[in-house]
Amino acid sequence: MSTLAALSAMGSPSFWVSLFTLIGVYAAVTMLLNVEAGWGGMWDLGIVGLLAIGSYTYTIVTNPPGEFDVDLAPGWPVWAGILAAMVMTGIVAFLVGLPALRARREYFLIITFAFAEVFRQLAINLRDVTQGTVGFSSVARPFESFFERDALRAVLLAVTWGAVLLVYALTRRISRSGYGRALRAMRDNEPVALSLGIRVSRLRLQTFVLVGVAVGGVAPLYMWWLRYANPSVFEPQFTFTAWTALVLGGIASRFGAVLGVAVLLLFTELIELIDVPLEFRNVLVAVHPLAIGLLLVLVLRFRPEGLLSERGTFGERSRRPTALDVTGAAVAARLRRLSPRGDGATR
Amino acid sequence: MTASETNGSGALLSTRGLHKAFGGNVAVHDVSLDLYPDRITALIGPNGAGKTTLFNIVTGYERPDAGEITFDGQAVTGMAPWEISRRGVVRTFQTPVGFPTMTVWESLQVAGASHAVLTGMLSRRGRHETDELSHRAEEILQNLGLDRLIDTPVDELAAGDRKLAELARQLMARPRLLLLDEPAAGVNPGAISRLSEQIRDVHRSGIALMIIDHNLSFVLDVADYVHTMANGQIIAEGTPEETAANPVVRQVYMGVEA
Repeated sequence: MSTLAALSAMGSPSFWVSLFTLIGVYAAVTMLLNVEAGWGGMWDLGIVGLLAIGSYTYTIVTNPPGEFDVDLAPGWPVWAGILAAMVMTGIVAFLVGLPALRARREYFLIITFAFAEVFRQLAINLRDVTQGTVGFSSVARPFESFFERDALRAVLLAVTWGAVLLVYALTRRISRSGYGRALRAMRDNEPVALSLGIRVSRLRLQTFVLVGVAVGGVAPLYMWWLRYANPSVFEPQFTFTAWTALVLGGIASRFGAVLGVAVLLLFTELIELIDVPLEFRNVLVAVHPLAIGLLLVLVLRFRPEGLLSERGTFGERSRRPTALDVTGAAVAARLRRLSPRGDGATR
Repeated sequence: MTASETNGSGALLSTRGLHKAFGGNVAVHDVSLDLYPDRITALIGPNGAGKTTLFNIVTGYERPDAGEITFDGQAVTGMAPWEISRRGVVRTFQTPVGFPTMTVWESLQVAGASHAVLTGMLSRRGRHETDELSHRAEEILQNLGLDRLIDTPVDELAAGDRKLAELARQLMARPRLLLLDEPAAGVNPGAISRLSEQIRDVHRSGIALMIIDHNLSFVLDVADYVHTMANGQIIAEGTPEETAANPVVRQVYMGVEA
């Protein structure tokens, strides 16, 4: 009986549309996180702070005047809201980056984490602009007048994955460019990077701002999916999920961020679907983080570099491997090692 | 004997009165030397003599407490390492860790890329640059006999090859002056004479060279002019023959009583 109920919930198209939209949003953010953390070695634990800036900026400037009791409601069109979110997030990333990028590794991590919390506290306290903990109960979405509810969701799913494709194209370009190589060089060995004329401090700031602007562009997609904004949705949980997905999928690989997000979110969302009696609901909720932890431990135990690896993404000189090649090679290597007669066993 | 006897005219790199102390520890004391592009210069001295600190100061990794550095007639004292590198002063490092996640080919691409990296990515020129870099990388690797290792990850190279790969990578940065910090360390004795030849080839290609090394026979073989350091000071300079015969050098460096 319970399996049947779960299956019927899974069968509903709106569930899948919603889940895959969310996967798209996370995938875009995680790919951008990979640019700065995976390739640039900047362990940003405050990516949700940038997302919050972009989300609030978009929501505030696009809300129709008079709908909420706030001081600022210019009622801009959606496209202007997206631009505003990108510009604002870029500016904030620049201002945060100036002091934060003087620190390295865990110190940078602590500072970015703190900034993300500062932004959340600001969202709570700047009531005249953000409506405090109440937040905004609706968000302006594009194409609202053209489609009815379910169709609009499907359209926004497509738009979201269009953006995912765009971000992927951007990261692919980065990974093949001198810029991407300079990032990895500075991460691998800063003194040597400097000795080659790479202006490390500026490269860090440029990258942090670039990621900020792009996250600002993704933020409206998140808002369209969520359809409300309040400080609770910008808790550190978002950052942790993105990081977990990145480590799962393979930090510093190119496609790993998308794969990691898909695996992680499908896994956690499908756990939610297990149909348990009401009195066990709490247990299921408690098991949730345990299950993510277990997934992470398993991947790191058997594939420490993540599902896809940096070496699989780079290093090919003549032929340029696609994500499919890399996945295929990873699967093949796995199979070889599993088979008793494979070279893995004979060596 | 501490200062160079010439007035520095014609010198590519000159230091005057360089001084650096770490706490109470004087690492470099009043070092003035001139480096001429037409000869391979070596810097020898016992451990802790201040050789690497001097390299660090010249390449911007350490700020001198006092003194001046000029490169090609321009003051470069206190400039950042990347700035000095872009002017043509490139160094290698004692431990050739390099970029462990990259292949030899990739790490050479890093070195040769134009410096406007972010905008270069977006421009058409940035994309065309790759082909030219690729050719140059292959050429440099071929000259050093490393072409068979072009796709090998840097962290899988044998110690000697790693040294050569480091040399190849720094050559990609188009140095006018290359400072080699212990190029022969970790290289197996049989390969050292080949290394000397390769270093001479680099010099013949028009790159000024300065070498730090512990292996005295290697240094005396490859260098045309030798500065000897001890306790942060230059205590002698001269041709390899003069250096080998100098009783002061023999005493402080080789532990031979004069």
